[in-house]
Amino acid sequence: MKINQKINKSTKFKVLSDDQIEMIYYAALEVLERTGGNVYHDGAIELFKNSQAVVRGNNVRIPSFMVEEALNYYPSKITLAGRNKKRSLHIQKDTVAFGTGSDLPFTYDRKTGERRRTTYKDVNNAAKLVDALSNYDFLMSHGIVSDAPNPQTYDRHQFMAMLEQCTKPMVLTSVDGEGLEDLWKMGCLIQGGEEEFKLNPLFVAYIEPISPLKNDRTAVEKLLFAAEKKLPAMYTPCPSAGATAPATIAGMLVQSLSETLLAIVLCHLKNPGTPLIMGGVTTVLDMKKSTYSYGAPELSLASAANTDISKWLNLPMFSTGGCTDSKILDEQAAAEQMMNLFYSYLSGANLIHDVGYIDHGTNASLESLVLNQEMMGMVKQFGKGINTDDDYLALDLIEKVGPSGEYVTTEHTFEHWKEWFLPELQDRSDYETWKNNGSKTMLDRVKEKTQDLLDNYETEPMDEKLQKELKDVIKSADERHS
Amino acid sequence: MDLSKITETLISGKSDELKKLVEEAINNDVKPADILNQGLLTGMDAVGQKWKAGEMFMPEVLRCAKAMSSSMDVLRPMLKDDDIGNAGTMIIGTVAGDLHDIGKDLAAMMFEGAGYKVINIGIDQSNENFVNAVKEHKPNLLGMSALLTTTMPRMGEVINSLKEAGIRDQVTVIIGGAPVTEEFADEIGADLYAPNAGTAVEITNEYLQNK
Amino acid sequence: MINRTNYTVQQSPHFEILSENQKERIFNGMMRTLQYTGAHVHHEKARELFKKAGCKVDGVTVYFPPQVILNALSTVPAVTEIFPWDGDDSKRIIIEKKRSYFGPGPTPPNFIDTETLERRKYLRKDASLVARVCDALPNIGYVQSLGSISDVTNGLADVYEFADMVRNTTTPIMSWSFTREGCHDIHRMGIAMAGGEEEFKQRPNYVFYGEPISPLVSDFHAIDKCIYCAEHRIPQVYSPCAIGGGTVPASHAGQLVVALSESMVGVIASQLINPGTCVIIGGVQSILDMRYSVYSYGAPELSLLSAALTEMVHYCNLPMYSTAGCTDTKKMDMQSAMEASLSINAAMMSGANFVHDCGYTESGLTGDIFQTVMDDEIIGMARIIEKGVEVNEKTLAIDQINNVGPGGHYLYEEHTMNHFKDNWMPSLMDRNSYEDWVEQGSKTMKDRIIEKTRDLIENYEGPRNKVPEKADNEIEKILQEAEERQKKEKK
Repeated sequence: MKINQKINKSTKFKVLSDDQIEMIYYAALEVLERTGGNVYHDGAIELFKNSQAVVRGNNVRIPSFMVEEALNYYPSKITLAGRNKKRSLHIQKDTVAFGTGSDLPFTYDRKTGERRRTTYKDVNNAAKLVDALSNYDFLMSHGIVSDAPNPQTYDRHQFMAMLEQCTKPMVLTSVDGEGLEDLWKMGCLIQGGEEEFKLNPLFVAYIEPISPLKNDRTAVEKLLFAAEKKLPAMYTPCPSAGATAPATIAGMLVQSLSETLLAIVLCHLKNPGTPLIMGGVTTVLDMKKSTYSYGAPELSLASAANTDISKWLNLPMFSTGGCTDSKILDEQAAAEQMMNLFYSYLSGANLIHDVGYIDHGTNASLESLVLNQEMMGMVKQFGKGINTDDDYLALDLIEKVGPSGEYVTTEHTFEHWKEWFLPELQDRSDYETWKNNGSKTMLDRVKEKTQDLLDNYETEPMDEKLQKELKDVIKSADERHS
Repeated sequence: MDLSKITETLISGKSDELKKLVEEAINNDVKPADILNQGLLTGMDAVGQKWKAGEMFMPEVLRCAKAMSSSMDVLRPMLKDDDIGNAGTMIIGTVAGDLHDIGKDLAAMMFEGAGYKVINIGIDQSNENFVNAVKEHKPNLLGMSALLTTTMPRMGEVINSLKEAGIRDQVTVIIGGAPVTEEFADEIGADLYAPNAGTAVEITNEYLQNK
Repeated sequence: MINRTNYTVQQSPHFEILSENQKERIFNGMMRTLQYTGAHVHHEKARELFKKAGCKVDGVTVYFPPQVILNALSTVPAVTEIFPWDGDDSKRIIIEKKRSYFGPGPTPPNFIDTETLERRKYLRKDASLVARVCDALPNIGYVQSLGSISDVTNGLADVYEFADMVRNTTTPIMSWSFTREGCHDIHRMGIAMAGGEEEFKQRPNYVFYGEPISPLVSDFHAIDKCIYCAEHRIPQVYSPCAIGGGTVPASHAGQLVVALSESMVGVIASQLINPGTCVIIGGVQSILDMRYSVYSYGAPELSLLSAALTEMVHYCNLPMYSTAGCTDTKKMDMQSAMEASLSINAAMMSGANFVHDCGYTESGLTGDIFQTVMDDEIIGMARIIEKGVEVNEKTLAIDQINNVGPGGHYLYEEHTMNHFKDNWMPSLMDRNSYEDWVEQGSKTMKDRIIEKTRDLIENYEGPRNKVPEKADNEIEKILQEAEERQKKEKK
C-alpha cells in the first residue's frame, strides 16, 4: 500500500495561467472604473446613485472595492431540484452538467426536411427527449413557443410545455420582470411554496446583457426580481469578437467579465448573497458570412478560458457546447458539436448549455439532441482518466499471461471491460454485418432512436390539480396582456 | 483625370486618400456623376464581388464602405437628383423594446457604402418615431430590424402606423434580423427581406431597378 | 505600459491525465515487467546483443534489468529533425516534446475509390494520389500511404509505395517494409532524394515505421529492421497495436504497462546498436469491442489511452507516435466526423509528436482519402486551441473597449482590422446563413469534402516534375533490381 499519492481522478485541463487570469480580471475592473456600463432602468440607476458608484445619465462607473465586496458575499453552492423533487443538479466547484439551449425560432421539420417556426409541441417533444436521455442534466426550452396567444406571455406557455414532459431542473428565459415573476410563482406552486422553492429551486433564471456593456430595462427588471427573491440567476453576455467585443479573445473576455461584474454589484446592492452564475456564449463573428459562429474553435477556446476565470473567482460557470453552424445533421455538425462538447467538459464548466443547437443558434433539431447523447457519453468517458490502483496496473496478470499470451479469456478482462464506453448509436460491426443490416448511417440510427423515444417514452405525469393551478397563472397573464 | 485611381483607392479602403482624390477631381471639373458612377460605384461593385467570392472580409468591406460614405459627404451636394439613381436616402432603426443594434448597424454601413444617405435613428424606437422620421427626411427606403421574437411583431405595427399616416407608399420597407423570414415579411406587408447585411444592398438595388 | 514581474504564461494549453505519482507507478510497472516477465525476441543476434549488455536470456525470452533500460533512455536524442527533400523548410519536422504533426496511416488492404466512392483493393496508383493530396493539405505534417498495394509483384508493395509517394510529395514520409531488403531499397531511395549518403545523415528525409506484436513479442523481421535503421541512423518508430482485453489487459493502466514494455525492447536494441539514433514509440492503443470482436478505432478509450501513453512516453523523454482521425464507420457519415473530432482534439491536447491514422475507416481496414481531407479541417480547428489565448496589453484591449463604449461596435476599429485574421477561417465548415446555404445547393459537409478532394486530384500537380532526373532514374533502377531479386527468390 502506498501513501501520500496524488492521483488525477479526471483529466486536468486549463487554458490560462493564474497570472493571465489576474490580468484579465484587473482589466475588467479597469473597464468598470473607466468606461462603466449603461443601465436603462430607473430603479437600478437609483440603487447605484445611493452607492459609491459614479452615475452620469445612464452610465454607471463602479470602483473596484465595490466589486470585491460583492464577490465576498457570493454563495459557492446552488442545488436545483426538478419537479420530481430530486435534488439532482449540484452547481459547485468542479461539477459539470449538460443541458439544451433555448428559444430557437426555427425547427428542423423531420417530415419535410425543411425549417419552420417552432411550436408548443416542438418544445414539448424536446422536453420529453431530455427527460429520457441520461446525459442531459437540465432542460432549456430548445425551441421558442411561437404559437402562444401573445408574444408577451410566451414564456409562461413555454415553461408549461417544458414541465409537461420533463422532470429535470431547468434554466428559463423570460420576457421581462413580470414574466419572471409568473415563472417564479409557477415554480413555487410546484415545489410547495416560496420557502421550499428557496431551498429547492426548480430553475435558474436566464438573463443577458447586450454587448458591449449595455443593460436594457427587461434584463435589469429580471435581475432585480431574482435578487429580491434570492432566485438563482445567470447573467450571460453573448459577445461576438470583432463586432460587439474586441477581436481578440482576451479582450472579449475582459468585456464580458466586466458586464457580469456590473450585474453582480447591482444584485449585491439590491440584496447581498444573490446566487448569480457567470458565463455566456463567447465566440467570433464570421468575417466572410457575417454570422455569429457556434462552431468556431474560438468558441471552445474562449469558453474554456472563461471557465478558468470563473474558477479563479469562485463563481459558478454557464458555458457552451454541443452546438454547430451546420444547417442539418451532417459531418460538420458532428465534428463541431463533438469538439465544443469536449473542451467545455474538460474545462469543468458547471452548466454546459446549447447542446443540440444547429444552424448557428437559429434552428432546433430533436435528432440533434439524440445525437449529442452519444457524444456526451464519449466525452465523459474520456474525462474519466486512468486508474492506477494495483488491480488496474495488473502486473501479476501480465506476468501470468506472459509474452505472446492472450487476455480475452481472463477473469480480469471479464471484470473490467464493462468499465468501457458502451455505444448505443455508434456502429462498430464488421463490414459484412453492417451491410447485411442495411448499410445504415449514423443519421439513420439517430432518426430511428428519436422516433422510438417520441413514440414510446413516457414522462412521469404531473399532478392534475397542480396543472390546473399552473394554467390559472398563465391564463391570468394572458388576460392581463390581451 | 483618371478615375480608376479613385476606384483603386476605394477598394484598398483608404478613407483620407480617397476623400482627397474626390476633392481633386471636383476641383478639376470632372462631372460629379462620373466621379460617382465611374469612380466610386465601380469600386464598390468590385468590393461587393470580392466579398461574395470570399476574397474580402467584413472589416475590410466596412472600411471601404466607410471610405465611400465619407467621400459621398463631399460629393453629395454637387450631385443632381438624377445622378444618384436609386441610391437615395434611407431611414434605419431597431423597433421598440429591442436594444440590439449590431445587425442594424452592419446593414446601415453597407447601405452607406452603396452610396445611400443613411439616417440611423438608433435602437428602441417607437412607432411614432419611425413615422416622424419618414415625414421629416422623406427617404425612399426604410429599414427595420429585430433580434427578439417578442419584438418582431413591432415591425408590423410600424408598417400599420405608416399606413395610418398615409405615407406607406412613399417608402420601400426592408426588414431583417435573426428570427425574421421572407414569409414573415410578406405577412406584415414589408416589401423586402434580407437574410443578412451582406445581401441587403443587392436585394434592394435589384428591387428598386425593377420597380 | 504596465511593468510586470514574476509572470507565468500558459503558452499552449495541454491537459494532464496522469499525475507524477501515477506516471511513476506505470513507469515502475514497465521496469518490473521487463525485468521479471521479460519479452520474446525471435532474433538470435539481437538476443546476443542484449545478453552482452547484461540481460538474462532464457530461450527466446529476454529479461531486462533496470540499468539496461535507463541506459538506453539516456542516449535517445532530445530533438531530431526531418527535412523535406526539396529544401523547403516550411515542411520541416522537428521531433521534440509537445510539437504535433498529423498524418495518415500505413497498410489497410482496402481503399475508397475516389470516382465510385466504393470500397475496393488498394492499388499502386492510390499511393501517388494519397501523396499528392496530402502534399496539398496544410495540416498534414507527414505522409503515410493509407494502404497496402495489391497490384505489384508479391513482396514489393512496400518498395513501390515509397518510390511513388516520395516523388509526389515533399512532405516527409513515414515508410514501412516487409523485411530488411525492403528497408534497404527504401533507404537507397531516400539517399537518392537527399543527394547522397552524407546528405541523408545531415538531412534525413523520411521516418521508418516498424512494430512489435502484443503482448511482449518482437518477431524476427521487426527487430531485424529496427537494427537496420539504427545502423543507418534512420529515425524510426517501434510501436505496437495493443488491443485492450485482447492482447493486453482490459484495464487501461495495465495496457499502458505492456505497450510501454514491448516498445522499450526496440528502444534498447536501437541504442545498443547506435547510441543517439532517433527512436519513437507509442502505437495504436484501443480496445476490443466485445459485441463484434472488432478492434475499435472510434472508441473514446482510443483517445484516452493514446493521450495517457503520450504522457508516459514524454515522461521517458521519448517522442510519441499516437493515433487519431480514424473511425469504425464503413462509409463516411456523422459517426466518422464525431470520432475523428474527439481523437484529433485529444491527440492535439496531449502534445503527441506524430499522430497517425487520419484517413483510417472501417476500424483500420479501409483507407479513405476523403476522411483525411475532413481530418485536415478538424486539425486546423484543434490547432486554434493549441495556440491558446494571448494575454497582453494589446489583446486585453482596454483602450478599445473604452473608445467604443457601451452600445458601440468594433467593426470599424483598427484593432479589429489587425486581429480578426488571427481567427480561424474554415474551408469545409459552412457558416452561411440558412438562406444562402439553400441557395448554394443545400450541400452537406460530405458533398463539400468530395468536391474539394476531387478538385485537388484533378488540379493539384504536386512536386512530381521537380524530382531531380538523377534521383528519378536511381529510383527506377532500384525498382528494377528489386523485381529481379524477387524473381530469383521465387526460383
